[in-house]
Amino acid sequence: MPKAIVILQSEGGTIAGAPARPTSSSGQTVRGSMARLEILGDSMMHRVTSQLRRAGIETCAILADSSQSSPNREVCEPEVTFSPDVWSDVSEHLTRSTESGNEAALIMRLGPYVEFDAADLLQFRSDQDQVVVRAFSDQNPLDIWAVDATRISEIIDGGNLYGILSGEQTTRYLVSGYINRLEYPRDLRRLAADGLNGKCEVRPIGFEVRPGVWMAEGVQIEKEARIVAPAYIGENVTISRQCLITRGSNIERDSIVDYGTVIEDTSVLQNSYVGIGLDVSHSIVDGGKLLNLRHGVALQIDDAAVMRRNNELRSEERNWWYGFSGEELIQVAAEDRRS
Amino acid sequence: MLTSGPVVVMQVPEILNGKEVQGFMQELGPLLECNRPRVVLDCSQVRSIDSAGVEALLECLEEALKRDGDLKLASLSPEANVMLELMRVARVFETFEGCDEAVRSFNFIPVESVPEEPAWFTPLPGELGALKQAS
Repeated sequence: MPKAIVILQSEGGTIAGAPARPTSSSGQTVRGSMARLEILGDSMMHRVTSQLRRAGIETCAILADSSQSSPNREVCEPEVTFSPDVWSDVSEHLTRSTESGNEAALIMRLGPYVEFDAADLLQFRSDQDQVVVRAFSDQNPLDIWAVDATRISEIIDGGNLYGILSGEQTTRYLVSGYINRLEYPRDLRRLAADGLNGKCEVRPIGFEVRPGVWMAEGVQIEKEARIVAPAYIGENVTISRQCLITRGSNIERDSIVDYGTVIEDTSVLQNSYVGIGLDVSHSIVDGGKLLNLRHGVALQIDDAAVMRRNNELRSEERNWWYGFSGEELIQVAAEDRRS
Repeated sequence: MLTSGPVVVMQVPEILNGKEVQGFMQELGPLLECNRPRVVLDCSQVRSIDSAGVEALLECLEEALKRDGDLKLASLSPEANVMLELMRVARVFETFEGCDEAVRSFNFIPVESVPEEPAWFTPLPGELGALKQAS
């Protein structure tokens, strides 16, 4: 069975061992991946690994740079391996893959979400008899490679794997499917909206209670609350009286939207409390963090009556925004505004 | 004759939260105590404002309006904009891109204060008067 190695890292940052990218905002900051955030009930990381499994490809490793780790994270995300040198780990996994008799391997960086036929890519590489085949979208390279694990291990021989994979002579495999770079927070909103509108294969996890409105289990919708399609209400979410959820908004699991609040074109990430009588539009809410996409501003709201974590995090749980520390979030918001 | 003081422009501090509000109100309070206070709050430096800060702004506006004056906001920072919109009070205030524009807005003569022009005719008694009015 072919193996897949998934690297969680978004564009614009660096991975130890790889050269700094031209689009990097800061060569010293390793930026996390939004692929770990739950959108419409599940994270891109889980969705992609499930898709690979359905295609007959086993994910043997999910790697992330150790600067993204914390004692909490390693307990809560056992499926992710944090490493100070991700590309060395990739090389090791390729070598092990060879030793267990697997020739074909897929390496993909999961910052961007790309819909493509992984089995077809592996078959293409095999048919072309190439050591490395890289996926491209038009002329733009994607960080998805199909490799011959046996031959590439011989080529690497202690060298720079990323450099070999990114060589100009790499054979191209054109991908025409849906791509979302998940580089900026607005990409996250776009992914949620595209999933709700059926523009990609990301499907809400739950039941379509009426056209365009999905709800997961344990949802409580109080009287006079209105949910206008398209919208997603996640597991164990409470929508209080007189609320309005509209314009492609998604409320992820374990969240509460309190009395009379309007949520418009907004993603409320898991375990968030949104207070009474607010007007939240064109935003991403994560606990006490509010990212307003229209104004390009990230705010830390310390007023617990306005926004906060819904449930107190247990000591072993994550306590910062998936993929972004508080400082990075403000930086990214500023970059997004400038772009 | 109605009189009012000059337009006062005051900078809102970078942080307007529960702790800072008291100091801000102590500074702004005297400016609102005159007859027809006219205040412009420069919000360009605001980086953080919470519900206590928003409440303080509303109280000041209320105080100004009670005294037949007004309080306007100018140069709203993105952060201030977001919080005011979040709390649904953005439309309560009159806002301007710049302080100059806000100050100038106080000098516009409101429509209701323009005296009516006297009638062009003098009403005549009897049926002839009614006919002339009708024409």
